Amino acid sequence: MHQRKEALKTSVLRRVLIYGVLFFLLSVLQCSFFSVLRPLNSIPHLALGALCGICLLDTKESAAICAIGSGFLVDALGSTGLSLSPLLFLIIALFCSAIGKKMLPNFLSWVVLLVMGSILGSLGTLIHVLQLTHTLSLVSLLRTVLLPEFFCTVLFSLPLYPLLRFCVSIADSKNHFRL
Amino acid sequence: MKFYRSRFFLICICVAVALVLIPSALSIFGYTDLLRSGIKTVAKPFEWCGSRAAEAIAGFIAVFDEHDRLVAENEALKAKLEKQENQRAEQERLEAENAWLKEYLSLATEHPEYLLTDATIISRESGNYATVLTLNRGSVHGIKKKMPVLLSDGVFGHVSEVGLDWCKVVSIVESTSSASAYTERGGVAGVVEGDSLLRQEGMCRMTYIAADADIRVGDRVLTGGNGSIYPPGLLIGEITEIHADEYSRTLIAYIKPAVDFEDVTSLTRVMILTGYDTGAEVPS
Repeated sequence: MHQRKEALKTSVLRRVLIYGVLFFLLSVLQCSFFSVLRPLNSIPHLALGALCGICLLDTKESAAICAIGSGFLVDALGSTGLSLSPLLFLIIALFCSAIGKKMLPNFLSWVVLLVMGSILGSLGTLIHVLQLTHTLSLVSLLRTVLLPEFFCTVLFSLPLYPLLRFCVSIADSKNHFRL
Repeated sequence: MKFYRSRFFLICICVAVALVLIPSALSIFGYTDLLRSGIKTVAKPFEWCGSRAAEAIAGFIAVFDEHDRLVAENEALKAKLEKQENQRAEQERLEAENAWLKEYLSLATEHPEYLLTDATIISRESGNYATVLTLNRGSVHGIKKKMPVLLSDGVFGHVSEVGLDWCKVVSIVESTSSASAYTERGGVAGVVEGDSLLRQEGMCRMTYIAADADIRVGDRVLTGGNGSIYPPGLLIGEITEIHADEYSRTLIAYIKPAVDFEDVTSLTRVMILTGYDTGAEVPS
């Protein structure tokens, strides 16, 4: 029993460390590199893309913690005012985990989850924009903000898959951190 | 469903809500969130590196953007230059036309009785020294043989051959050309005719001048109007040399025509005297 607790503790610490570094770097990349470069005139939500991968490849518990942590990081580094990301990311993580549980852990499944996660992320952006301004029409918002953000997130998150697989593999197997 | 009823799930929800509400509330009331501030401080060097890297890439991409922009600008400038060149050419054409019309006007003002038709030179006699021209006016335009051809400077020659819409002009320096003439100062009469040798220098000669005639170098020679071609009083040229004829007791005067036949290739238009308006008022 004691050994199991120790193993769980080690596993959780390893996960926190690996995923913490991963999401920190992705958030920094998102908030500095891509905010300057702005491919497709938008900033890709790399943290969201990685979160979808965690949802598929790791446990629901890991995904929930990663969602809260990455949401907080993204808001800390690149947002001012209302910080909805921890809650939004948690909802996305729970949704994607529920779907991901019924999928095979491969690239195609991750793309499907990524598309779903990006749609939910865009909805979050829509709420955020609507909270800031009411003057923009939905068509204009779709054309200038939501669709570019969606495509940008999907496109630039695709290369993350090997990195996510690698991180999940070194963060230990799923069974060590399951309620 | 076990997960959603677990304590872990509830903690997650609570933490997430807390992380939404606390920083938002602190931000609204103008306070700094220490945790966020700490994260920002740690991330600052990484963010700096990310920004520099992005700027470097953006700068690299901008080189290609700049190239495209420069190519587009070059094309636009080329088009602009071409347009300006066209405008300049058009302006030069208009200036030439204006100068020509002024010449035409001066001749028409000086001789209101003349019925003039302007003609464009469409070809020249082949050879280095061309004084036979082909014009774009013919019988359909009322042109007939032996009609005088003028420039504002003076007499050029006469129509020697007429086609439907073209005619050939022989200049007064051609050896086949002759016209009665007189000097303006002394009123000395003679015949101006072309000479095959003088023609090379763009000159002609005046013959049948009496040996004791009052004639000098520099005298202006005008058409006499006794022949069937030229009307009287048109300037032919100026006497440059006077010689005694070897075979008769007369003088021969060499004339430098008022029309510069050495520069005849630069001519583009001439005037054909097609008739006379008998009702016109001739200036004194």
